[in-house]
Amino acid sequence: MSILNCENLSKAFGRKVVLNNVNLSIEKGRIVGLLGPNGSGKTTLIKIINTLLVPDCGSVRVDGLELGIETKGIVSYLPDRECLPDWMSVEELIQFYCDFYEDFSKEKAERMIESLNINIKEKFRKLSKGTREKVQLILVMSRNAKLYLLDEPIGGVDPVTRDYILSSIIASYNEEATVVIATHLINDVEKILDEVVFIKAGEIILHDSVDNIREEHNMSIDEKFREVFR
Amino acid sequence: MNIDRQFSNDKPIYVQLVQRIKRLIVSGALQPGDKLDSVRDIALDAKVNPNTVQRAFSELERTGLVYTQRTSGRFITDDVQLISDMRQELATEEIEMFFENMKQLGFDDAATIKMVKEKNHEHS
Amino acid sequence: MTFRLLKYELRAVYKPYVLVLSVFLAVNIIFACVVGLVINALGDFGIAIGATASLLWRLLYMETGSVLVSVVSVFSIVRYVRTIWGKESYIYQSIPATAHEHILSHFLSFIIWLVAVLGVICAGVFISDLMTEGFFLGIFGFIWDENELIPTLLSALTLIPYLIIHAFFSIAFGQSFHRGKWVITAVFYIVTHIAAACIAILFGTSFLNKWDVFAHDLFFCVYTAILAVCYYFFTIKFVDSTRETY
Repeated sequence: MSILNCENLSKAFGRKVVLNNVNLSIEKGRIVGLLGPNGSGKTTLIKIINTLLVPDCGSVRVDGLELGIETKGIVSYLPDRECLPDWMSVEELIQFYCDFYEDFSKEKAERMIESLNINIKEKFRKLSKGTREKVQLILVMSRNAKLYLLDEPIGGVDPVTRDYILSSIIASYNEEATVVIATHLINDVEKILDEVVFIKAGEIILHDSVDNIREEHNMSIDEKFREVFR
Repeated sequence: MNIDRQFSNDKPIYVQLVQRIKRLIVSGALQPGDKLDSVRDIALDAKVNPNTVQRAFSELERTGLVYTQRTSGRFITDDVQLISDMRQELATEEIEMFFENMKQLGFDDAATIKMVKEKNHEHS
Repeated sequence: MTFRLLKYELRAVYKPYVLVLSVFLAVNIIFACVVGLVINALGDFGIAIGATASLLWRLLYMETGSVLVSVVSVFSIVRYVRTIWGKESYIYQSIPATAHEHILSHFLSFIIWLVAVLGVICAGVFISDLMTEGFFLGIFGFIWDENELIPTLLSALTLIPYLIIHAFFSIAFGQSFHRGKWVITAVFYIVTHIAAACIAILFGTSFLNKWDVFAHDLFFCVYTAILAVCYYFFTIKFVDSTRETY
């Protein structure tokens, strides 16, 4: 059964068409790469699924439900920017997530924070950039959601943090959950993906499993991406 | 269980995983009857998708090199004959690839064999 | 969910409020002590000084009051914009809460701070009064006529919430446009304000001669309350159907 279903989705900002008739269906239990260059509509698509934007036309269903309170409860979203209330301490942020999401595991979040030697009493804005990214990811992955939407989770972080983030994604994965990773850093995420969706100028031009692409074209996703977007 | 994290671009990752685990078994790094790490551990170790590891395991189970015990996990086969067959198979593949590569360098089979013999003398 | 949101809204801004209000109270108490001492020590001459000082102080109360009410309004609007369209919207809009719950929590937070600010100012007056043995309220007593006080309070009680909801509504309307969000917000705010006032005057004048002042004020209150409720639901509608975060 599909966890995410987009039908004829379109969105324009003023005259600029950002998504053009997008149809996308993603199954349960997959790690999916939403790949495209900057400005191709990745973030817009993710924001629509997370109800931060209202599409001009088309419909989205998450786990068979229309977008709304119920879907917000099962979608865990990592924005492409820092958005946490920075006046809170890490501890307060954990409590914040705990208060608002029923599926949040406080123990898991605290364990992960502890394993990184982050001072839980520290104010969020006083942490280094890499640590802030990690905290944000920990909060998102500590939810037991059905659909994780990660927008550029590894953009602008050092290789060690990148490794940590990819490991946490693998460690949090289960058969009931689907993870969608939007990024243009394909080389780094390629190994952890089941399938890829290529998005170009607001249209989906390829949706296939990683194994298929490697078998049929004898090239990595990164090479295929360069070929398609050249 | 140590699996190299580098994968080549031309083949699916699960195929490369199968090859690596086969080599670990044939070389004796994994002994008959040994328990394999869990899917999640291998995925974390090699930084690959858990479904990919799962697929590699299914492939290995199909060949009989690995079997699953419902409750306790995955084990290497106790069938020594099967492992030695696999060793033979891998060796054959390796030799065929070697001859293929030599052909590309301009040596026919006879010339190649001759060179190998000479090299062998140097060694001993 | 509304109360959980409210809890975080209150926590987001409590620090400056607590600081300003405690400074205000402290200054107030010190001042009242000094005035009390002067009155006791200097007799009639002291009372004259105290009266002058208290009149000045009364002015200061009004100014502090209006400044604090403006600050509360501005803070509420800033939080409202930031959590629904701004930086923190990414997290707040992902929470499983309806637009209604979000807006209600902002509105309640505004009311709570407003009551707190007004409460502290009233407390200041009473503390001063206690410390000067009834001197202060004596000064206040002759400023406010009881017949005027109740209608004034009644109007203020509906007018202030009305104004904040009107601001929420105008912002929600302005934000639904792709360009010129803030210009549209400002124009919309002014135009609807004038329109609402014109309707009130048209209705008001036709009844004005038949009603006394109190009934007139009551009409005004009911009118603003109805408008506020309408604006509130339009705000929810706009936030729900045309959301565009930055």
